[in-house]
Amino acid sequence: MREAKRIIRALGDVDDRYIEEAAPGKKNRTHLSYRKLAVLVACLVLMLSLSIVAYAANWFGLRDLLLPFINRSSSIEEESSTIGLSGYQASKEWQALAEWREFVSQYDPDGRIYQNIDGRLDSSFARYSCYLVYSQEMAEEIDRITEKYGLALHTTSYDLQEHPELIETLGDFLGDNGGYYTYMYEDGTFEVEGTIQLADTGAWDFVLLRSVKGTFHDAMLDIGDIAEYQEMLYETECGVPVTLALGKSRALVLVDLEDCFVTITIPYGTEKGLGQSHMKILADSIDFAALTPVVKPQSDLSNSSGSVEHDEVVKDGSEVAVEYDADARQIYAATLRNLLYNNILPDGSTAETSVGEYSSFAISDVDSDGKEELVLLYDPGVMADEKGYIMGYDSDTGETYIQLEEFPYFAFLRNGNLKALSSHNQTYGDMWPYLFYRYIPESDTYELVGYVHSEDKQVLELNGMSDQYPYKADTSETGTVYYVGTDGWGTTPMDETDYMEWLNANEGNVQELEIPYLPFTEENIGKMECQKKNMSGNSIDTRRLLDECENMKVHWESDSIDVDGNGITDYAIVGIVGLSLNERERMPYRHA
Amino acid sequence: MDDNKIIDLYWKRSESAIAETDKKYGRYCSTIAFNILHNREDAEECVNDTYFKVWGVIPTLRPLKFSAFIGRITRNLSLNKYEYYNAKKRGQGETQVVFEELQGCITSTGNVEDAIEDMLLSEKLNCFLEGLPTEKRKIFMRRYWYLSEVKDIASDYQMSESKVKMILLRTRNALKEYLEQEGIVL
Repeated sequence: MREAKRIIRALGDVDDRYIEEAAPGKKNRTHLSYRKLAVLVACLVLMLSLSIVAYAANWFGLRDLLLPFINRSSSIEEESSTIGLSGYQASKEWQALAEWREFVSQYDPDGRIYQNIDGRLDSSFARYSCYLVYSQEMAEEIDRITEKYGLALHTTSYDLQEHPELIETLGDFLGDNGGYYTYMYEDGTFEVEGTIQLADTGAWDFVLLRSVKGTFHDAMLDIGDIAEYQEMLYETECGVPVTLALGKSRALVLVDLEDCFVTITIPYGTEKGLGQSHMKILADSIDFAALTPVVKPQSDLSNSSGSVEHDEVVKDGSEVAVEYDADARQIYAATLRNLLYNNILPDGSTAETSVGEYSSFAISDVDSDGKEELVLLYDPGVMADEKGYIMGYDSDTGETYIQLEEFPYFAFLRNGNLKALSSHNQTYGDMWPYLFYRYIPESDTYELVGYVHSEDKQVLELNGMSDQYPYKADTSETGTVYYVGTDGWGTTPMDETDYMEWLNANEGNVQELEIPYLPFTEENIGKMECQKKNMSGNSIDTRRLLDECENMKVHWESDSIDVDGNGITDYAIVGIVGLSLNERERMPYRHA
Repeated sequence: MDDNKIIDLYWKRSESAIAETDKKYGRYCSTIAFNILHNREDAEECVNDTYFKVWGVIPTLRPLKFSAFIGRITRNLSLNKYEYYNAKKRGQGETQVVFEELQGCITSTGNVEDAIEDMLLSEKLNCFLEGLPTEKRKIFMRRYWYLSEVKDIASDYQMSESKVKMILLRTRNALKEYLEQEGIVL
């Protein structure tokens, strides 16, 4: 526990801006703009003429979103209401959420199962990466519920700060409001934090969430006492019917569209002077029509209506269609990230060391079955720990499986067979020893056919061991003999002619594939996911930022004051060499 | 009142400095203290101690970011009090949970405490935070700087508690890996 306390203490000295931006109740905004007063007045007049007052109307309102009350015995809080944010009670999305919530409330109530995973998620749960699923029971339950209601699971969450192009396809749906985009799922579900500037009351924050129908989305919101809300139906200037719900400390705009459910939450209410007129202005300021029909981010960017595409590649002179499967790539990406961030290898075991700078991966049809495989070369820098995996994807189960695990030194042949080269060459032959594997299409696995190595007359001579060369076996007098074993490394030498005969018989004398391996980085994983989507894959160059941090030339001077009241005399920075004033201001005080 | 004006009041040794500080940052400081101590009286005591501490140091220093400055003092005082209670077996539940979550992010060799190591750790944490996407950074800070409860973070960010927990889990794993890569061993 001492280490955790030191992190907590050290975290106290991080940059002021991180403290400020995360302060409770504070949210970042970008690109703020201001609505013109004249437009506001005009809108208000128009809206008043269109609005329909329906106080306490239990019709397409908050009560239709209300999730069953969950009694948490450990909680001493006042009873509050929780609503689902993916659809009204009649929808399959709401019903699935209600069932899942009830299950979660009863499962692992003391958190022991969660604690036992010790921060490590098994790779078999990769397909649930968008949900808090950390046990087989949870996986089975979420599968049962989604199958029952015919819903899909989220598979990928995109950071919209890194991929703003995903949200830009929606156009200017926020109007003049400022917006800070947070995330988008693969089905187009997304969240944006916005700010609207009202003439009489100033700026108001809001959060807009679009939940796409057909996918299980577990977003919920505690709204406090539902009885305190006043609700009304309203038709926006664009002719979209919405529900406005105004409470003391929170307000909501609910919009049920054809293929998505939109919720706008304002974290203030009547206590702060918010009124129905403000909410109408907010509702009018959003172009809800732009939010439907939903266009999935990947299909939009790949110009494809489905998630599966085909590439034509040449293998052995014939064209073979290689299936591009977006789902497979997402699961492959999850597998890679599980190793990158959690040190979990594809077989579920824990890697002793992180992936390091030498590990790499590739997505390619290495076994020539028309589908892409994941080739993962784990090289942490210690040869004994190196592992290579060839992984396939089962579209029926949505899971990956290991086709072959060997030392990460593969020579893939164009007919699907492969040579798994050894970690060392301790023979007297120039040819690198290898294990020959034949691809079995029926099981999508590999069968070990033989252990192969060689011996060169010249090498033995150079080592003063020419008498050990098996001259009798080298009937072709090529200066090289070969050893082929089936249960282990062979001990009987054979002539090159015999070796080539064996190799041809086992379809091993075939040209090798060139595999485009990528360094094992988040950036490349993201690119791999987005390759067919023509996405930029832009991300923060963390390495460069870290290098810059390392390169800072800091000069410290002290002031013997207990600045922060922790009982330790603090040193305050009074001069920093080589940094601008802005950078100086960002530097926190230090303990010494 | 503007932060600079509040600081001016401290420099002028005006007693209204504390009143203005309390008016603007009282709730902020109380939240920080309560999140750590989970006791209203103790939290209020820490907030008062914070004002006393600020009163004592501001004539010598002029903080650049007053909110972070005062929040940091409140946090440290509250952690001191928490550790004092914890030593007397009066540990506060949620704060202990936060500690347990972070346990394991650093490999311990049992070395004696070293202030230089703590400085290095702070610098590395800064670099780590800089590399995080904004939303994840804010959630991480809300949990481990402000020690906010998961349900409060979920409510403020309009996301499910499960999503917050997942973000925290992944960020902790990334932190652990980052610190290991940087050779941080305390």
